Amino acid sequence: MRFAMAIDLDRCIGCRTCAVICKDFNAQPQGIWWNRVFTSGTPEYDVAVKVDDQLRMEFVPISCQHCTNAPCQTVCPTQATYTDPDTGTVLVDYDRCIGCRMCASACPYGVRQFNWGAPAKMAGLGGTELEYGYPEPYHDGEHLVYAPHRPEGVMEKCTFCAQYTSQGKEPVCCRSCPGNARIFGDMDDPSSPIRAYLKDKEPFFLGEEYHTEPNIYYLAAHKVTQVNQVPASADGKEA
Amino acid sequence: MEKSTRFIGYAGCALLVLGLIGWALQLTGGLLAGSGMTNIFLWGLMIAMFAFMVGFGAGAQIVASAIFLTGREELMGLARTASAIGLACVGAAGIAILADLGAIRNILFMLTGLNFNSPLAWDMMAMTAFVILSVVQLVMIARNSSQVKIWATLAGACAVVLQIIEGLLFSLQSVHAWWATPIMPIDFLAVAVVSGSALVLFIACMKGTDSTGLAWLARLCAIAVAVHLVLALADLGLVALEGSPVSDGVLAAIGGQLPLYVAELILPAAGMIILFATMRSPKGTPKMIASALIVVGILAHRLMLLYPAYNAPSLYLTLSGTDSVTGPYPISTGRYLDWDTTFALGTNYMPAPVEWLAALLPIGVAIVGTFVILWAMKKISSTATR
Repeated sequence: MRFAMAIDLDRCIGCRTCAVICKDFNAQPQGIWWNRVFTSGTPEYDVAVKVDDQLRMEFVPISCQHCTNAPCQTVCPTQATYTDPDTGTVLVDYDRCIGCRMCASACPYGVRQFNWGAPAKMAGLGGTELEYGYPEPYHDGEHLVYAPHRPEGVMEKCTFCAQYTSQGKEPVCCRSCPGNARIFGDMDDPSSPIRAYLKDKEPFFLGEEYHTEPNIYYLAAHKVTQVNQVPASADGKEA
Repeated sequence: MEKSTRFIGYAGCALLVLGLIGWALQLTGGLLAGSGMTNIFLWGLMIAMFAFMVGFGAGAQIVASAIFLTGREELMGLARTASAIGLACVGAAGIAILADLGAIRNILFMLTGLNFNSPLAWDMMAMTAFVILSVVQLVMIARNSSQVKIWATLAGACAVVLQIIEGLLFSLQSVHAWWATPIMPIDFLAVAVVSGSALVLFIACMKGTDSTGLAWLARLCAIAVAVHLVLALADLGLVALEGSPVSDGVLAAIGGQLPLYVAELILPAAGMIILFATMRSPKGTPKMIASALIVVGILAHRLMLLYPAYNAPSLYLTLSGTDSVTGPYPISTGRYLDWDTTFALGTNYMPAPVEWLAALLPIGVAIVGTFVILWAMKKISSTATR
């Protein structure tokens, strides 16, 4: 079995529901984001860029790419980062991580998140603290790969929602996406939804120059949903 | 014990205590919360200090081994001190790594679950091998054994391997264009010789070593600086000529720290010129000034190892259906609570006060360690002669 995800950029509307629900269901402490969505071409969110006198806005969600040749796993000195042999998912065992941050330093995608201090809970109204996320720790065999209350000073990242996929459910970002832009499944199973979706399509991968063999398949945006001709006098930003 | 030596010993103890306080503050105040690091700028002052100290350690041992192998009688006393400094500095570098860990409580997995593919594992093994060989060598020196040359050769060879592995620790991270060059491990070796020879030269000047010995050390140091500067400029040239968005990002990050980058080049270059100009002079003061300039330049070099690597984005996207590389992709800083900044392309790293304090720990360990090792050698020596 090899878990993978397809992300169809034609379907992504940039609502960031995936990022927020990922944070919520995975009890990510304040300041930690496993999943992020930005507009290609600008460091700001929701800003268009000018291409061939047209304004274009293309959202690209990025989280852990669950690489087959994961540099984070290679450099981890204690084998805290490992690939689950049953699913091909790259996971972090919080109980083995020494917090050296070498994995984050070696990751081309900037998706690893470190707990620099005691993980802070989300602040609610009136000085309250919010409890949220899957309520129980989840162990993959002997490895602690999810805990609602994070240990201090360890690395964390997307697990493909290991606590849910182990129950046969899809990751929450897939379940919550209003545009159905994320398709999850087993790439080794010819009848899986992801295999069916990718059939006859040409996906691309992020950071191919790093030879990480990601398991997140991106499908380029082709549809023109709105034509926005830029007036010749406008000082648009070139892509 | 001379007054100046005693002062250095006391200063070492004070630095050790202050450094321990800094580390304790980092541990009790929420691990690394009191730092200026982010999920973008992942390694800070302590890792720069690690690279700085391990360079001194390996370099001092390489100089000591060279003295033993070439049989330079006038420098034999210094070789003994240099060997002790070598062990103390590598030990201090190990302490720096430990002090930089977020979850030191899990450190036993470095023994029970070591990943042999990790450069950090190679590093630990090389440091352990160095410590073992160095201790044996120091015992042989203290006992005035006829096998000193053999053990000094082995310890020197291990120091060379250690530095190459330190270089690989950085250069194998292909995600950072500033590090991912084959020059990096060779330059680590050159910097070690620069650091070790500058430190030993400084001590030789303090001790009033004769002019032949000083000239030999000054020549070694000046040549090593020349080699290092050629390699450093070659590194810069490679990045400048690449012309990719990633390399442009590296150049921009260097530009953002221009005073530091200029210091890393100018200070050792000035020291090198002074050394070449005063090589045959019996006067020690110019050589001490040159050594000090070189050491400060190397510290700037170690800090500049980090800025262009971490503040140059690695992931650039292309708009669908175009060849246009549109720009880097923001990263979550992980420091929202401190700075109200959730996502950024780079963060302006400035070590926090507690980081400066904790960074004194490895320096204190190196100084106090050297004194303890020399004292132990004296004890072994006096026992052996009884």
